[in-house]
Amino acid sequence: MVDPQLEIEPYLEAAGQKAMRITHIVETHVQADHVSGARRLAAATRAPILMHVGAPVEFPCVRVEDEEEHDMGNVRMTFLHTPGHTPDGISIVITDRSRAPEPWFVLTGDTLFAGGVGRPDLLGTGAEGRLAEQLYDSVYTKLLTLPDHLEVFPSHFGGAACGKGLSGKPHTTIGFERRFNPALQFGSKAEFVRFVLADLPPQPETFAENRRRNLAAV
Amino acid sequence: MFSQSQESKQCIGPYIGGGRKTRASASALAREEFMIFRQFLAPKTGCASYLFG
Repeated sequence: MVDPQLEIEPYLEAAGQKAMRITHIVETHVQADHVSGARRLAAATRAPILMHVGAPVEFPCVRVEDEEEHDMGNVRMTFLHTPGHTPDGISIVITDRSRAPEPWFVLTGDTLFAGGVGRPDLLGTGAEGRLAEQLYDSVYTKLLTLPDHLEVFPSHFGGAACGKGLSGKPHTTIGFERRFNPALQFGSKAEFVRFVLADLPPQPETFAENRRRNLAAV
Repeated sequence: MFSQSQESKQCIGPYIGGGRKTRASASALAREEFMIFRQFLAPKTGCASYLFG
């Protein structure tokens, strides 16, 4: 399960319908736009929560590093550290070995969206310039090295405040974003940084409190 | 088809295989079938969650 919302019943119901057991709960980063359901789901399923080794959370979780692989039967998850929206951002490359020995899709968290990228200013600590540079590296030197045919499943689509210009379509492909995502058309890091820091919408008032709750031990 | 396969491996090369690994047992793998995938969308907030395996 990746990036569960606080209301976990739909996940438990969907898993039950397919006789699935939830064995891994992944948070792609410390969320700010909503209160995470990861710990509630962990309590209900006894599955561990997986987060990047740099996530500053105060509760127990399995810490994953760049390039780390976890297998669930035929499904392989390969974690990529993709900071920029937050320092602890991860993307997950998924290979379904019942179909092919190569990756099929990537869950990009809040790093890459259909039509946009994650905003780097939500920490509110004046770190947005450094994070914007990290975001460039994550997108241009990691995600864009993936094959064009890979499907992209982000953690947000149109209506979310974690990026600008997001499409109402909730998934896309690496190839389409490479060609048409406005944030992916730049030839230099400096141009990209200027673009992602310009015209950012105001941060909703609830974000700081959500983040505090998502970091806390209880 | 073959050339695409070669290209894909080349593209993902730096990010596959270098890190820590956990593996399911062979017997567990044999019991598995095709992947189940569910996308949960919250139109009000624009949030997406995923259940798969």
